[in-house]
Amino acid sequence: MTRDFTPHDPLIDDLVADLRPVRPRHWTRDALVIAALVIVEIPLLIALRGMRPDMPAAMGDMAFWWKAAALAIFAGLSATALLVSLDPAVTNGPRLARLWRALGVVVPVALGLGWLIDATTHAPSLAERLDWRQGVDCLISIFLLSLPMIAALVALMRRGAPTRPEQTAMAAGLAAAGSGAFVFGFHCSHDDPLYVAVWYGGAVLGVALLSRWLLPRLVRW
Amino acid sequence: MFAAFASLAVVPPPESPPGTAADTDPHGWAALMAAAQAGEAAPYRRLLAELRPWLLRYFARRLPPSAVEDAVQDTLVAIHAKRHTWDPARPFGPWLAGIARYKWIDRLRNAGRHAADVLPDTLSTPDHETAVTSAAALRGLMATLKPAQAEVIRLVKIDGLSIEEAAARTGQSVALVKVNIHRGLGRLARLVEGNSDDA
Repeated sequence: MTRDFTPHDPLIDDLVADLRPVRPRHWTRDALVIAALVIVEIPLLIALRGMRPDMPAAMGDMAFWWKAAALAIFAGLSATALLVSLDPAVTNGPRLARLWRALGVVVPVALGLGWLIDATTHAPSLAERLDWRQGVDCLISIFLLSLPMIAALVALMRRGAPTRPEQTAMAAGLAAAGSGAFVFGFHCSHDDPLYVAVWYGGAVLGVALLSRWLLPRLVRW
Repeated sequence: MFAAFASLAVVPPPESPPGTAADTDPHGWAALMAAAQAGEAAPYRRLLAELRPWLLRYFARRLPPSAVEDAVQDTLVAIHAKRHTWDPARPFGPWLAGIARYKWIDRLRNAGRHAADVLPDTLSTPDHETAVTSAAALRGLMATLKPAQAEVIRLVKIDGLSIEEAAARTGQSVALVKVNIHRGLGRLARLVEGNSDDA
């Protein structure tokens, strides 16, 4: 039995009195939550809006795989950056910086690859390629699909300890919209990289900026 | 950004947070925190009592004296609220330093947001010399600001002048003094946030 030799400080007394056992946070559990939500959203979207009608044919098309892979990698990197940034010990470490740099590389490389894949296959006019009516639908749908994910990510952010809330909020927006865009790809029959860059990119950017602005207020600690 | 990075070299090196790579747990804080996570009160009390003086030193170098005690208490509460975010498999020091630094940035931001409100706090520090030197890290950082911003922050936040006195001394209008304090402290917060060497 060791003697209690520490001076008594009312704040410390209060904190000790409030002590309850806690389970240390581990990022894999958070990652599972995110993955589960994506997996739930896919059949939900297919039930509500239907699978893209040309799915079998599209699967033989390189542009289809380009879109799915680019969005999955983008969403995965953003979600990883978010989860890493919830640990105060690594917020300023090189691991997080590397993730942001990777995101900075993935986007232009993906768009460049898309352009290469696309350069030979598309002839119609710009207006036809952008198809604004469907484009606006894409924009709104991706926004809506990202909302449940944003809600889940805010819960994770509040449980974690983001020491750079703006950056974490940005990562959350990119991850939510990126995963929403990936899910929406099961319904949307546009694989044209120009269309994806404009409408999917617009939705992702919009959600990210909105998160960057709104979320830090919700996760102050 | 990079200029700011380079000029941060003038800041005296911070107390090395215990538990960094070279020296994983010299104070035994990781073991104490692991016990605290399991709900054991005595090790937790010892940990908080030992963290308190470390935090006092940490903030004394970075904030005007009148703000130090609040920052320490705030950080202890944050450590309590976020204790589950420390991974027992990893060193304790970087986690502690990350939280302390977040609270430092928070203080800088708040001080910037309430340019005038904080005044009564910082006014008439009894030991003027200590006030200036103890915020050494803060002063080093201020070398990176625009002179007009650095001057009014020094006058009001460190020397304890009123906004009006600072305006008279510098020839800036009262509104401009407030704006310069707000912008300058906001910029300091961003600098600290963007600098990975501090922890």
